[in-house]
Amino acid sequence: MAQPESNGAFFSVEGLRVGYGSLPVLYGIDMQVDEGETAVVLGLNGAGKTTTVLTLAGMMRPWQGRIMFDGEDVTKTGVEAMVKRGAVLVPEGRRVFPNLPVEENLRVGAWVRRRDKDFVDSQIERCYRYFPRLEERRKQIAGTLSGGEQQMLAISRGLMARPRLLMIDEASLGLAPVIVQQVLEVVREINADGVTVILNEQNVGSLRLADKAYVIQKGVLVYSGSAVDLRDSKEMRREFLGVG
Amino acid sequence: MGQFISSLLIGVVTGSIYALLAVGLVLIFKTQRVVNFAQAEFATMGAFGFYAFHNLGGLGYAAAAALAVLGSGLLALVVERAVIRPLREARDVTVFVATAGVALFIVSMTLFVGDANIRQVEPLFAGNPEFTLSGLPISYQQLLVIAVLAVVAVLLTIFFKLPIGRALLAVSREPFAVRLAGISTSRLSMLVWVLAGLIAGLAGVFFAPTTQVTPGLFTQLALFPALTGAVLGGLTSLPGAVLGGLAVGIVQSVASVYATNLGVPGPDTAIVFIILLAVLFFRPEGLLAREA
Amino acid sequence: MATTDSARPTIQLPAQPVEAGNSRPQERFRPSAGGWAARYAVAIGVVTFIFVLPIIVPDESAANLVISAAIFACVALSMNMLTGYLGQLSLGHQAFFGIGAFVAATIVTSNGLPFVAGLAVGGLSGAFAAIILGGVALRIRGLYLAIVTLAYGLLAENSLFLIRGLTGGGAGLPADRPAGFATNRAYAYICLGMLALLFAFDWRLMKSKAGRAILAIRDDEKVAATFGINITGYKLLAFVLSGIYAGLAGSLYAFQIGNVVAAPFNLALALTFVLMAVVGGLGNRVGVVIGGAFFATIDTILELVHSFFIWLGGLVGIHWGHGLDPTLAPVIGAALLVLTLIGHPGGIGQQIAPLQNWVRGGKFTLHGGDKPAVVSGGGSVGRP
Repeated sequence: MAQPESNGAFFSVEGLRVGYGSLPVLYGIDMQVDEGETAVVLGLNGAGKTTTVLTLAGMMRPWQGRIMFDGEDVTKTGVEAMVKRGAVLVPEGRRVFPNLPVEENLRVGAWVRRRDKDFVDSQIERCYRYFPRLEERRKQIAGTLSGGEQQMLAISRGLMARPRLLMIDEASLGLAPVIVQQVLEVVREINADGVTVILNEQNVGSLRLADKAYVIQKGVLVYSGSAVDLRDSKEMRREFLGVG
Repeated sequence: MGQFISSLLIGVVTGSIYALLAVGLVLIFKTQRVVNFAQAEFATMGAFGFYAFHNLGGLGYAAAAALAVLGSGLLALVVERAVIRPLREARDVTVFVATAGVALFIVSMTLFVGDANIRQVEPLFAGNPEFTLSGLPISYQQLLVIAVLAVVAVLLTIFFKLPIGRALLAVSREPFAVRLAGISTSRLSMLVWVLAGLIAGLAGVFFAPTTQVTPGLFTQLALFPALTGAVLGGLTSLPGAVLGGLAVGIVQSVASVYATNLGVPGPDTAIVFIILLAVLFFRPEGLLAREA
Repeated sequence: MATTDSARPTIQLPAQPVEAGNSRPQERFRPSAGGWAARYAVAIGVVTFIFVLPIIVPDESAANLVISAAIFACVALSMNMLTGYLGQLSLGHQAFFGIGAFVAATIVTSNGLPFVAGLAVGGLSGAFAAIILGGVALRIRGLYLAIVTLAYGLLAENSLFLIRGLTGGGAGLPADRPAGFATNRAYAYICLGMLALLFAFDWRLMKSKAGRAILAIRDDEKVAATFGINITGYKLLAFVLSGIYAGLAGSLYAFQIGNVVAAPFNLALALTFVLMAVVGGLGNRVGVVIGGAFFATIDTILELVHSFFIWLGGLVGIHWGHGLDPTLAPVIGAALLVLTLIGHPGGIGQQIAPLQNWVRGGKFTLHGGDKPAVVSGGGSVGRP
């Protein structure tokens, strides 16, 4: 397949414009993430972060622009095919299946490889290695977990399809700082094991584990570049994030 | 006492029909928040389909039954594609009205194509053998209806242990996250409708011989009790639907034996109405609240 | 629109809708004198046509159709009150209608009171039947309430209407028309008069504070409550009014047929009532009245179309076999219902809205008029 060779990045987005109905939300976003990197997308509520990852995950059709994943054009690829290709989104607000036990939640996450029983079991073991808390509660109904445990479960469920690109929308929202620390720590481990990660965050602390950073304001990318630069420059932080 | 026991057994038989329909209603409601007014008509069509294939078409019992049940499943699939799918953004009461329209369409279509005459559907056992329990004749066909419910319950229990069944349980609460796992919710929707149609078809084929088949039979006979049974079980619980359906059947049967002495007409409807109101007022989440 | 705006906006331009409502002051359209004359002519023409119908129809059986149309139109207004304005589906309207019929017959025949008393008590009994259901509606909502209304109608159908002492059992209750209105042509005027009365009342009511309150409850009960609207009171009011309309219609029906039996008040009738309101156009007074008249006369319309085709077939030498007989009526009705819900939620009301708008003194545009109401209740928009 002679796909248009796009500068060789693992995952790239060019001129992405998306909206709901006739209402535009993103006015042209460009991103580039290399394999094994962690990128963090920062921005306030309503800036368009969630729309960005929903589009990348194949849940929304872009109006314009191009999305390349692993050398192939996936601009018009739907969510089912994206999961099969290995790009998975962990949604905002966790959205665990509250009526199912923890382990059943994980099994639903492995839908695309459901016929390979050994694979599913080994993935469950892998999730339990990342989050031992979940193994303790494997029979517990997910709706009764704490917020932090639900976030762990949501990330694990996303891992079940064995993604090469894991997008996590607002992992730290509504969680106690110490829990956020734990969760982000595991995200760093996941990344170290070779999974490319895109984090949607309002929390500037997440810059710590990112290689790249993107800042979205009102649907427009105002910063894209090194996460370290953004973290270390007080001026830039004030300008783009409104925090000193 | 003998009268009580025989009315109990009759109650279990009709309750099995309610339960089979309630299971279909719950399957659809669980996954889509749609109350399907046309559910009972899938059963009526099963009975008519069997009559057409067996009595008119001359097919053997098993072949006619299988085709009739498949026909009900197909009908449900058509309804899902033609009516439910286009209304997926509509409010749930709107969809309820639409399914009522579907029920009316099916009933009036049977009247238009055929006629209002009573049809007698053949039982599985030749000659419809009976035995007597406390003076009341019970046919083997009636026992068969209970067996059908048992088989369906077992099959569904197995089904919900499979990945596809698990996905159905998940979609009832978090359709969004189900899509993110790479599951087509549109296909799940088709699947539940077909399942509900097949189960209703079974109910229709096997219950029809115990009564006289007329257009709209199951809507008149069983829709409202089945709905009440489903509500009694919490509207999202499958075990609840089975138990709720059986409970409504038993209460109805026992009540109609004893209420005849009171001279109140239609005690079976009245008692079901009372159950429905009592559940909705005092325990709207149903008696078996846990979803499974 | 914003979609075609290709220029890349600067950072401070958020995704805002370009036009928020019709903020631009528009010049109000006023018809010319001739325009008004035409509008009045049409309005008066339509009303006159309706009121000369009983005279110009060919025979008594056609006059009977006018009676049926007027009565069903009254029921359609009743359905519209609950389902269109308050947003609560009723699948048990055969109860209100039947109770009105039985009570009116009882008052006139058993108690020997005059026709007007029969109508009044019949209407009130409908209100009484409705307020019981209204009480339930204060506690149970949406889909569950819809199921309760279904049960309520079935209860009336299978129990109440079969109580021998109340409804005469199988023999039924006789109900004689008042002196001077024995013919269908004459009686049609009483029914049209009642329709006109209810129509005018409904129109004035919906212009009043009470009408706005009922609509506000439909749109969002919680928001309405925060605006200080008495939810309980106005909900019950809508139920009571709907019950009165249906009870009055039922009373008229009793005298139309002369002997009230339980059989017609069944679930199929309740579904027909839903059809009339939904296909007519929920929330649109004129639309539901047309819907009611349509479903009251659809059998006859089909027969006429059928005989027309037979006549036509005879001309060209085709013999029509199984054709358009009245059993097709519910098939058409049900199909219309589903098509309305899927494709044209505004129903007939939406189709005639441009005309209505023009008669009221607006411009004739194809998208003029009121927005359609939808069956509301429950929620969960966007299911899998």
